[in-house]
Amino acid sequence: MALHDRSRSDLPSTDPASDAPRDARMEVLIGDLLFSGVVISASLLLTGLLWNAVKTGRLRLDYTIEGRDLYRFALKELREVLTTPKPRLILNLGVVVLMFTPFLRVVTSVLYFAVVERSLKYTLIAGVVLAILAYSLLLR
Amino acid sequence: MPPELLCLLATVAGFIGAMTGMGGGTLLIPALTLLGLDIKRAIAISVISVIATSSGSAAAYVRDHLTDLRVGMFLEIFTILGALLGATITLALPQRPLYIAFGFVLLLSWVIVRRKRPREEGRPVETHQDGFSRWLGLQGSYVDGATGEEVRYRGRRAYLGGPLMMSAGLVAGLFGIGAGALKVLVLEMVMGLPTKVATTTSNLIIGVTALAGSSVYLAAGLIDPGLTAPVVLGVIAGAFAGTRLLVHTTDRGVQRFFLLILLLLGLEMILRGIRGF
Repeated sequence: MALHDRSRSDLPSTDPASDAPRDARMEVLIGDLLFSGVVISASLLLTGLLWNAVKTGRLRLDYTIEGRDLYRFALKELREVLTTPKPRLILNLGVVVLMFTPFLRVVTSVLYFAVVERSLKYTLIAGVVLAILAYSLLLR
Repeated sequence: MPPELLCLLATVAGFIGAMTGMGGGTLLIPALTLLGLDIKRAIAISVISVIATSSGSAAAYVRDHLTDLRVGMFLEIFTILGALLGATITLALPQRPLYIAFGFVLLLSWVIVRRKRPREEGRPVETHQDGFSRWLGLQGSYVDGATGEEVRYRGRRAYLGGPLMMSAGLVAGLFGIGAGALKVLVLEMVMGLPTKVATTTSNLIIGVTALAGSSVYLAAGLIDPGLTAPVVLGVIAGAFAGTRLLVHTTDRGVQRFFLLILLLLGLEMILRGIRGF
């Protein structure tokens, strides 16, 4: 499938107004994604804290996440929380969701530029951002 | 370190941050260190909270079609690289220089906020758009909420904006703050974007930049969810309240209060760095 570039760089004076309907759907999608991410994350964090408070009578959980990369961390947490849920795991998931929110936003943008807008240029640009981010989340 | 106290501090920081547009991290980190928290952990916690506040506000701005997603996407390449570098540097630095450096960041913020004059909405001047920016397609428009008119603009000097954004990202990753002021400066002054587009796009960029920084701190094992959670919740709550209140108060008093705190905390951090707390 050939991606052809639909941006108007060949015209001497472009009409920015016509960019609006193109982006509008992506913008609503991204806005909703970002908002949901924050809300879900906050809910998980709050739930984890309160559950721990109910369980142990204290609000404080004293631990750090061992240095590891986000993917393995997320997978590990998900597996564990489905088998033996603990407040700590809910808390960790809250952090995971929060961190994945901007990441998913970039993924969405790449897909949008590639599939909907069919702009090779911005698919690549967004792709570079995604690649760097994806790599950074692999660090450990 | 009682989580309730952290949450409260975070709420105040988020509130003031939202009202002054300066973001919570700048005040949050000194406050956390005053409670006895290690500065690197404070930075790690702050950088996670920055993801939350930036994503929350960006959500609204993007839906209002104020943000320029292309400009943001392009510049994020640079801010992310800067943030990765900055966070790595922070990990390697001993604590005392970090305190001193952070103190200077606060004092610099004091200077910047002090010089800010309430001014008119920045209208883009129709100047020549360089070839690179044109190729990137950095033109757009937005509808001014106040006047209802459609404002068109053309971003330019992307070749300069990129590298400059890398330094903004560096500061963000290094100190665990949003560095929004720096980003807006570049977007508005260098790239010629209108104020509203500059501030909202900066917000979007901050989120992804903070993510890059946080990945480094996560890999280093500095993320303490027991402390991060109350802080994130507090900052979200504070920022939410702050943006609600923004319309109803004159920010004179808040600004003066904020300036005083910036000055005091800045000097205090520098002293602590020198004396070895």
